[in-house]
Amino acid sequence: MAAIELNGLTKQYGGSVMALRGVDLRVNKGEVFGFLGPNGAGKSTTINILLDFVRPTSGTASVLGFDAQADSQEVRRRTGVLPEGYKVYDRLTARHHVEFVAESKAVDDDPEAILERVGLEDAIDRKAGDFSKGMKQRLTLGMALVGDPDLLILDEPSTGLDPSGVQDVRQIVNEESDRGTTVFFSSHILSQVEAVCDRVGILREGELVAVDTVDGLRDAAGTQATLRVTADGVTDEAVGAVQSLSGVSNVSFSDGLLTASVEDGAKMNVVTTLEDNGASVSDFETEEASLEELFMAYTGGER
Amino acid sequence: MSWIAVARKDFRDAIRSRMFWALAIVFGLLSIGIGGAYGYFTDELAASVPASEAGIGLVFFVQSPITIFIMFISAIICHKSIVGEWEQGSLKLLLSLPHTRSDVILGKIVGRAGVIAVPAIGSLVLGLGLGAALLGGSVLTSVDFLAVAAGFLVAILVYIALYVSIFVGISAITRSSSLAVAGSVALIVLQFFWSVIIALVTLLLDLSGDPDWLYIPQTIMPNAAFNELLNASLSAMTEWPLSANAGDIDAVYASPWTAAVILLLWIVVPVAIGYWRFKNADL
Repeated sequence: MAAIELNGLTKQYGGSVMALRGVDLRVNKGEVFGFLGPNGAGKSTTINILLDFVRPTSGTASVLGFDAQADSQEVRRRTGVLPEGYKVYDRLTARHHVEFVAESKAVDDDPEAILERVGLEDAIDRKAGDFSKGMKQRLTLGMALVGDPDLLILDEPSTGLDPSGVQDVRQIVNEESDRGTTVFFSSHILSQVEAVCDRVGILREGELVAVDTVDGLRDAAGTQATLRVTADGVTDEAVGAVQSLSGVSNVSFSDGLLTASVEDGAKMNVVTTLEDNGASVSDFETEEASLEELFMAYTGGER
Repeated sequence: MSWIAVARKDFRDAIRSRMFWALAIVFGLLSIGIGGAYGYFTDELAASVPASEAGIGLVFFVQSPITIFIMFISAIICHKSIVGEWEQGSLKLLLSLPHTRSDVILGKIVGRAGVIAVPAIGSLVLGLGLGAALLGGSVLTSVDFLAVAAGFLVAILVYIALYVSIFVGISAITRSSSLAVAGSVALIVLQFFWSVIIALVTLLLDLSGDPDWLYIPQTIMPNAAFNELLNASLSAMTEWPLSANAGDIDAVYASPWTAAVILLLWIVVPVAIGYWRFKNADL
């Protein structure tokens, strides 16, 4: 059974703004799925539909086998959520917040154990209004873990967190995943998704432009890598000879540095061709196409 | 039943605010002041009438200022209950939990009603107790007085439910806090000027001799309906001659039951419209 299944999901706000244009997506149970896209691409709208905060204009969404609209309460009973643009209750303590979630879900989780997992063990009885942005984010993440949910929905979980907080989120996602929890999280920053996700989907202007594993996306971007060669005595003939090699393109040379896009296996040919043409190569390096570049390519470069 | 969790959270949150304590203190002072003043200044008069009548006089002296105060307090405490959480984003936290939107509205009504009822009942018990003690004689122990005072406290709970329901309803209907403020203020202003408006319209239409049907517009506002029903109920409990409007009119509909229906409509209709709007809204 799919944890999340979207069929032709469309959402139009007001008369004109198309937030989603027929999104089809299937997220499997137990999977860690990264939902990527620039701000305004429709990530939050999708998540808001999963939680019945927002109703689709057309299409269907089902979560854990329940219709996201008709059976929303059942969905939310089994789901832990870190929403986007939320606010905590300033006057209530971290413990109160977790107790409220436990009471709402009719479970008896220990607030201290939960808050320890998110690194708030020293702030259990402090008012959430005095928390920093990062602490509020940790608290809300803790609230999402109450009741051992089957699905975790995390909307931009790294917002406001310092690097150690981001690391903690990653660890919690891995722990939850190991327990069999499906994790669906959105981000506009690719590197946060890359390390933890089984698959990613890239959303652009309300359309899903790619769904694949991270490696699959990398393959899809082609096997081209950028080769940089530092060499002395490179003549125009040498550059021309490199240019005519098969599997080599975009050759340029300036200030003793030659760069070229090369396919697998063409790398050494470049170096030997340069040396055959009288140049002395002192150093060379290759760089694989980064996912970041790929992401930019998919999303039209807007970040 | 998850509205209980919402109500408990709401109450817990509210009693931690300075506003709540300020409200409780003002409530206490107001109630003790009014009750005490009545007891202090009318003790001689009270000595000349039966204890029950003196006690009932006290209850009615306290009723008018206290109900108006409760109306204002309810507006202040409830007008942002839904729309405020909506604007700030805490509603997303609330609704990401397994609460339905009706759970949220019901929980808010019960939670906020509790926030007002606890200091209101506490203050009124103190105020009425002090007033009755100052009246002297056997007022404090008169069965009639105790029955009327208890009836009055129950009526106050209904009154709190009435206004909390109205203002939470307004909060669920509107899409911004400022609209909620405007709606709440408009209702209160209308409430105060209603009798003037009716008098003017009567004058303009040249309705000589106050036709019977005027009873309906005269009773249509929440405070008027509440007072009509309270007067009728309390006079049924005692021999005290309370002048419910309905008493002078012969028509079938001129009955406290009409006031009861109007009251019920005020409790149900605004919040039902609010629920309908809220249920269909994109957050």
